[in-house]
Amino acid sequence: MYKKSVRGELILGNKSYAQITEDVLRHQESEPKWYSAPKWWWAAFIFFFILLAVGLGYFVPLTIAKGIGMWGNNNQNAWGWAIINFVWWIGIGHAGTAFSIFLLVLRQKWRTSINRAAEAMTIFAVMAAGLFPAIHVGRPWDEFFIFPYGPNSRGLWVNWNSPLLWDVLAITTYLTTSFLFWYMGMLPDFATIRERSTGVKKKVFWALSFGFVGHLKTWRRFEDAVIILGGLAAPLVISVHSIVSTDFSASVLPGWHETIFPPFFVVGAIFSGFAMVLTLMIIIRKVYKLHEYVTDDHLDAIARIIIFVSLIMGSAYLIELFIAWYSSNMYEEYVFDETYLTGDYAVPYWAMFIFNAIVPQLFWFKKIRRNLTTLFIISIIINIGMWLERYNIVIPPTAQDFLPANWSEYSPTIVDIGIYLGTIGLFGVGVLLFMRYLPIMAMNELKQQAKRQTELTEEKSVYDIFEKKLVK
Amino acid sequence: MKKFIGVYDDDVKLLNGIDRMNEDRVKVDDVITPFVIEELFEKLHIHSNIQFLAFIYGVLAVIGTLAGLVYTFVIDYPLNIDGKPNFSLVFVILLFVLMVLTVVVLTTLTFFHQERLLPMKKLPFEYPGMHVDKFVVVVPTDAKEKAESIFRETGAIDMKEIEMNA
Repeated sequence: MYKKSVRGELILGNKSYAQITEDVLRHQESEPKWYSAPKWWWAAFIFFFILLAVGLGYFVPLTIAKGIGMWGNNNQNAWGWAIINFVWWIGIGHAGTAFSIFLLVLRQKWRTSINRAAEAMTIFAVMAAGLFPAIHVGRPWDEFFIFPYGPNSRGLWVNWNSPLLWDVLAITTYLTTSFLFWYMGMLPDFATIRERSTGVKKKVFWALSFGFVGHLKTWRRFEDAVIILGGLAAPLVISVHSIVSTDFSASVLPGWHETIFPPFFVVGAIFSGFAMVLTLMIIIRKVYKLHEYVTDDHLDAIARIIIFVSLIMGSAYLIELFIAWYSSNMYEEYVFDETYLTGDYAVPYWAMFIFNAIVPQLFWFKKIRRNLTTLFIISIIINIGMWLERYNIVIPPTAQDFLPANWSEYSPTIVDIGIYLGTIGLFGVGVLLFMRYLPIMAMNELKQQAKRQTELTEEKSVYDIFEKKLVK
Repeated sequence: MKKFIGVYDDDVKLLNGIDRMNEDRVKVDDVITPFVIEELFEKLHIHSNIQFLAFIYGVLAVIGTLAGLVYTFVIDYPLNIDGKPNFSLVFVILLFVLMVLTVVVLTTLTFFHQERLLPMKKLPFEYPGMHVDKFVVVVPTDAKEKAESIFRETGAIDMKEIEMNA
């Protein structure tokens, strides 16, 4: 239950319903042509498009043409940057849904200004994530073997026992669910844009809105369908990242063979995603001057969640170290004592520890939580820290496992780096197109929120409403 | 099909108007609003069967997935690994994931089907602002007189007869 006295005003400035529409669509409607956009938008778009073109237009075809040998992978490190980046992106993708859906299911009304952008972020992050396993198989044209399309040419079925198959199914399900949830939520807003536009734009949004009109029955069905999608996507977030973690923990490799991995991965995903939501919302608020919708209270609430999640991350790191010592398993102890804490990978390990478990503790200070610059910098630091965490999970245990004779060093090649930058380009281009052409906030939900806020202002407190209902 | 509409620019006035309609037993065919107003569902007894259908889809998806797994593991290609059949607890994960996929896709399709949503679907009518800040109450033309006085008394900003596409 939303309580104004706890959260404060979620939409500042006593906005009317028409003003909400104006404010959210101002940046779209003020552009005279479909291709016109502010200079900063074009500069950012060109930058990310170059990354996308070089990464996905050159390095991906190069990998497919010449093979995985173009990457830094070797006998020991069969999973290199591709899987680091896959887990990193999928983690970011999870928070969009976690943010939007967990808060929807928990009836947290402060999600309304942020959920749309968070969901969009999910779609582009999952697309970026999906690219890596797709090219990592080496022969993408044979990928249909992964799907259970029926007994293959040897009369065999897919291996249902393999976490890698679960991964394919889970991520396909996740992408589908996230996309449908995102798109369904936009239908009413597409109808608003359709009504306010003319010419080709009207036709485009007519098609995109599927002729949506806010009939009473439509809203009822819409509410029910959205809550079903949300209710199913919430446990899906947990299951998908747990499944991703079993890709590692189902092995017997020291450093990977840990029962803590599923919750650790889920929390890590939410952590990195919330940081990315923070990064994006600070940018959107700044460039579109939406501080009345994304208020300091909103950012403050995200920062508080980050403190909580960061504490869980810190605990997980300490538990890993404790269990390695307590298990008395020499291989496990070696990975943690010699490889991570003091060995070849001490720098990324300690950087990860500081970035993820210590730096976010600065959010305990209100001044830091309320300062956009510090919020932005810390959100970036967390994203780097979470990338390092995936690096520490993927590389060191495989580089230095049971037999020292097998030990190897891993370093990425230019192709690895190029593809990673390409996915950043894909994400950036996607987010920029979303910001330019689609409703960046859920207008219908903001209006509902404004209505609720007015009711609460008129009543003295939420308890008065309960009392009134009881009297009735 | 001819209908009579009254337009409000405020949801509180709209709810008053609907209360009056209910008191005077004027049939309300539809209310078109720019956002969800949950009180209206209660006042006009609007229900949907989507949640029930979603449950049925879930049950069918679980049965279908289980049947598929049993077929592949036990009937079509039975394996015995170290004395154990190759039908382990993994089915729990697969059941969940495939159940979610099926329910999500079918629930969305049900919503689109029930609403007959199609690209470029003809709109029933257009009233400026009905997706922004206007609340349109649709009543049958034979209740026009009663409705007109209620609309006027409860602060409707506009009322008129319109041609509505089915």
